[in-house]
Amino acid sequence: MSEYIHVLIMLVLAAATAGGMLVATSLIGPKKSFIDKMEPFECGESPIVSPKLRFSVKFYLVALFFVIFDIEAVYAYPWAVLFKELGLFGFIEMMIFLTILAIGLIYVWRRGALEWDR
Amino acid sequence: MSWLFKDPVLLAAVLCTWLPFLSMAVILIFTRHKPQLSSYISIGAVSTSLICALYLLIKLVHVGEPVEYRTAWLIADDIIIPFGYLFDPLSLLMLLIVAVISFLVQVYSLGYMAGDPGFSRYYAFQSLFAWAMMDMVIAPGMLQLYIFWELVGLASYLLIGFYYEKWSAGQAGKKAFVMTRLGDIGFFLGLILLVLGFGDLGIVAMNEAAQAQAIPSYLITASALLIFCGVIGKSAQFPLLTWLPDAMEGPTPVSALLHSATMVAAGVYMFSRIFPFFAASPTAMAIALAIGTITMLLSSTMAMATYDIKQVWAYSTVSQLGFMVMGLAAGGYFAGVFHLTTHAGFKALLFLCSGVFIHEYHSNDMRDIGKGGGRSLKIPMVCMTVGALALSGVFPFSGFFSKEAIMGVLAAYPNKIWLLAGLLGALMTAYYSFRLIFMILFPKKVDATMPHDAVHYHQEKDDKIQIDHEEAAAGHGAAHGHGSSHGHEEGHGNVFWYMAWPLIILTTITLVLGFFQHSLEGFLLGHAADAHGGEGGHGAGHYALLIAAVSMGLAGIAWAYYEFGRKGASQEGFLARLPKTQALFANRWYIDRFLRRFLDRAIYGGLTNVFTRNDRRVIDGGIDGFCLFTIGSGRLFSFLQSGMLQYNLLVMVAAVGLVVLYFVV
Amino acid sequence: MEQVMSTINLSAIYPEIILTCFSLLILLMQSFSTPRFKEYYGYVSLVGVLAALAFVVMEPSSFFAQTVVYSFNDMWVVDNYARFFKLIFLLGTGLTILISMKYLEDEAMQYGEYFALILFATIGMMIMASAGELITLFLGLELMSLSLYVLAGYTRVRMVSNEAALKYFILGSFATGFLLYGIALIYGSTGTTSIRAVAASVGKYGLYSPGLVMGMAMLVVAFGFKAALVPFHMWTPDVYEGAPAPITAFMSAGPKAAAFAAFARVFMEGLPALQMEWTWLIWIMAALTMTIGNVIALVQDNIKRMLAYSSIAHAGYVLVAFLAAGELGISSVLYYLLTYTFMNIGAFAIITALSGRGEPRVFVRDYQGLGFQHPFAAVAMSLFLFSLAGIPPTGGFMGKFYIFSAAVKEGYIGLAVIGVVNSVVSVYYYLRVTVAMYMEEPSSVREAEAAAPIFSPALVIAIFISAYGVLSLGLFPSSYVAIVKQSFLALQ
Repeated sequence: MSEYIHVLIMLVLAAATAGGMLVATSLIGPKKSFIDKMEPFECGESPIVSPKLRFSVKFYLVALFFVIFDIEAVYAYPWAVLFKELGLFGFIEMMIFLTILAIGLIYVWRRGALEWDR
Repeated sequence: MSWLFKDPVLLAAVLCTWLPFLSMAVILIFTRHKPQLSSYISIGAVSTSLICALYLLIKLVHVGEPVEYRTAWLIADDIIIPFGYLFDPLSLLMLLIVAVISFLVQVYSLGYMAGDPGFSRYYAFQSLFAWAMMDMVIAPGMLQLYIFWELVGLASYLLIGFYYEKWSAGQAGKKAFVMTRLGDIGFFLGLILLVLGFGDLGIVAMNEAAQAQAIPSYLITASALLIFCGVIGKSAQFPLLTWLPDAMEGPTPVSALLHSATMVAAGVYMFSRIFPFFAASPTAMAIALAIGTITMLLSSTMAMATYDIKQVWAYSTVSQLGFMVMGLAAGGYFAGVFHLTTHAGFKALLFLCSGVFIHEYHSNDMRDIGKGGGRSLKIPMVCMTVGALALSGVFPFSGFFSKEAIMGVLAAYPNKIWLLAGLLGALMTAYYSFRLIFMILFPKKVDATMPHDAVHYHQEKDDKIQIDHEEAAAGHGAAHGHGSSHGHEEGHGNVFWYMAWPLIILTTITLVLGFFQHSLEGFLLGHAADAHGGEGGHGAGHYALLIAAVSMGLAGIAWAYYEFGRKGASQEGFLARLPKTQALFANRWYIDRFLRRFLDRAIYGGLTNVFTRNDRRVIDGGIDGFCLFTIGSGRLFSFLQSGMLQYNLLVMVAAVGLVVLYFVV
Repeated sequence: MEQVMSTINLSAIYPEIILTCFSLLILLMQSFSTPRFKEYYGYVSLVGVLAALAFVVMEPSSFFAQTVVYSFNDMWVVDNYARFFKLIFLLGTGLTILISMKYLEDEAMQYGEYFALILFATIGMMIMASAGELITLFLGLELMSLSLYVLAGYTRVRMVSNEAALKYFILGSFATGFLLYGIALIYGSTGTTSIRAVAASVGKYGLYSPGLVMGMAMLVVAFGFKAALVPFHMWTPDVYEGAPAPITAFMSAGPKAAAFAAFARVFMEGLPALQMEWTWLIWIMAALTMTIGNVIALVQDNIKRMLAYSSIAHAGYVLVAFLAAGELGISSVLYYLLTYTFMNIGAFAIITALSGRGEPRVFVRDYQGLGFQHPFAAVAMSLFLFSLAGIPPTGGFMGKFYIFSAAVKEGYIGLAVIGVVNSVVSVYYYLRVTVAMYMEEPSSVREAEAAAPIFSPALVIAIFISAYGVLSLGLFPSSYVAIVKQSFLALQ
């Protein structure tokens, strides 16, 4: 049990810090409310719109590509950390992975999926 | 597939048995509209089969032990059903017989069937028959034998009803099918009994076990009797013998091939196939002997009363089959098989000869043929006489030797009544055969002025004639030879020779086959021949028998000559003076009527009522209800199956809930 | 580090590597496509399938050698069971490619993606068959499913095709969620995702961990969805009807077999100790699947939809054999799936040929009089339908025979009776097509002439291969049974 005591202390400290900040701002911060500010935060989008409003599917396409190539980076991190230990074997494995991904990129590029106006 | 080519014997066997099947498929699918090509394909296949059968015989003639190829065809846990080939002397001999007769009949049919609208179909069915029959003959197990046995029955049904436009042909086909099926039910029950009691349907295994008394005798007797029902149906034994004469509705070459030489002999073949098995049950053998004898005598009397040339040979076939069963049941394995062999030759010959007459005179009535000048067709006339002599058992034709063999076996039997019956049968056989020959040879008054085609006595042939004429008009006129060259062999060209050559070959076989008795006996019985000491009964003590049998045959011929052949003979026969007997014979001893009545009373009157009620109310009602229910519920379910995504998801979640509930509770 | 590398046996995944290379090659071809390339996608993918097939059969050793190769820390298993399934998948894929080529040309949709996706789906199935571990299995299943979602909507100008793809995607991802959740629960209660280790753990610590049982239930749901078992079958008719005919053929054979492959491996190898738990559940599902599939198929007029329901029913038959387990049961599963691949793809090959551009002719009435106009197609179609109905001497009969004898042997007589009754019901709707082909006149001669079926050489080859398979499985079952039994032993 004793080894977990540090974790417990850590938890208490974190909670206290966060809680303290919230309490402090609500106590000492200035409060000026107006309509825009009271709206829920929606990443820059207007939160209340007509449901018939359409987004171009291109947004989603780009988002998808972003996610896919983002994951590439996620895989690259652990490999980079263990690069020396994995050695040549790891290097070749990673190159194969990247090659496959590159083929995907080539395909996407050549098929014109990256061009906004087609 | 390489295994196939490593062993030439196996390759030959596969070619032999499966080429006809291939030809059937090709004809039915591709060449239905090219009759010439169809016939060439079929004949090519069957001639290859013939060559392969010959090769197999030569290759395996000296192999003492049966050669068996089998592969597990169906494995269902501990029941293994084999499929393959069994070559022993018996199957090799039968294979050759089937191949030879099939080949000759198919060549003959080129002439006989020329111009028929169903020419391709005819050859497809012929191929079907050849395939089924050959595979049946070389079956190593009873199940394979049974499957192909039924296929042979199917081919028979299709060929009997070949002129399906004709009502009587369709009826005859159905009758043959139903009556043989009656026997087959027994056969199948016997096989089931055997599987349950013994567990192996391999022919070799069955025979060996029966000989070694490894099977309880009641089981052998019961299953042998049930299996014998199959023989009764297929080989037209008493009381299921009346389908065979009706089967003559098919084209004459079909009658020659199926309903005399090969298919009906399948029953006898099956009997000899598991002969040791039967022999292990004296009861079954005794019953078989009695049935064979009754069949032989009854059908001989029927043959004396008919004027239809094909009917005569049909009854004669039945009686000869009965004779073979007698021989086998009396313990004469070789005698029965030998008679089967010779009978195949001469009976095919007789039918094919009759076919020439029928083709020429468009009548089945021997009086019409005689009056029309049948004697002027010299080759068929001579050949038919040879066949009739063989049938009557006159030296030196093949029938003599095989009949002697059976007589010998019967004479060795303690009870002499069977021998007497055999001799009586021989007398009647000779009588009715030569009654026919003399009727044609010495007609009462030759009416030379009457054109052949005008002989239209018989209503049932009319449709056939119509077909012939239409076809003749449609461009086969030259081949048919109607019109200018009636009655002259020379004028008939190819068609006639297609039909004549098989006759000559069969006549030759009939002439010489008898002299091969000893070599055949050695071949069939192997080493056992010495032990049996010639079961055919050619010991010195049997000369009396020999003379008795031959004199019976000659007496029959003389009797026929007295009544039909000599100048001024009445040509009416003794039966005409005994009208009641004649009616009895002509009506087939009222067997048909009895069966009919029996069926009417017992089955239609009693059982059927019950079953009909059951059918209407319970089964029909049940099935109707079931159908309505299934279709109704189908509608309902497909209504539920709306394809609404939300709904689908809901169902899935509900189902998941149920599954979880199932596991939790 | 040495340890990690030593357990990697690359030769165990050669077939998958080959297929991957070929599908990437097709993608590259498509990227740099010239109009000329259009012709070649099909052939290139066919070569890939054949090469993979050769490696499955020959590598790492012969089929009968009973070698079991583990690789990647037991994440990957190559035994005869997996090899047999890969054989089925590759066969189905090869036949699908053969029937697709002309179809795509007629629909003017000859893109490389089609074949690449088919190959990806096949790789996914092969991963499922070889997965020795639940996460690997999940990867394979996802690869397969994602490819199929796209393929179902491949003819994107057709509304039904779009609908099919979307429904399939939504319901399919739902099922995938269940699979992952099930895996997570099993991992939570056993501490491992390796199927063999799960078995060891379950055997050791007993059964009644609620998490384990829940996990198992989730897996049943997920596999039930992928194999289209009632009540998780709702997607099947819409998707099968909407997808292009060759893709329907593909989906009904390979992915279904893959679902059963994974199902059987997880439940027979991983959770045999829990058999008592799931027996009745499977019993009910099998009975429902057979009955509902057949009953609804009775009233369908669209032949693709009819075969969709029939494929549900066939999954029910397979489930009966699956339940019977044991040597005979699992052998029957394999035997039946092989037969089903031949007969169903064969039937769909004919449907593909007959449907015409845009697939307007997919109703039973469109088959009227086919027997007279196109005897070859009609004979082949009848053969496949007879086999589906289970009439001898076809493979379908033998397959059902083995399934029901396995069921009877294991004491599931009630289920066998339900199965046989269902077979009888099914004869009705299969023969309806045959009757239309041979005994009814075409409703309109002009219409029949207008849409002549298209028989390309590749399609005819596919029909011949399928017909050969159906007939040889029906006439010479014993040689196949020998192979199938070898495959079963691998699972022991």
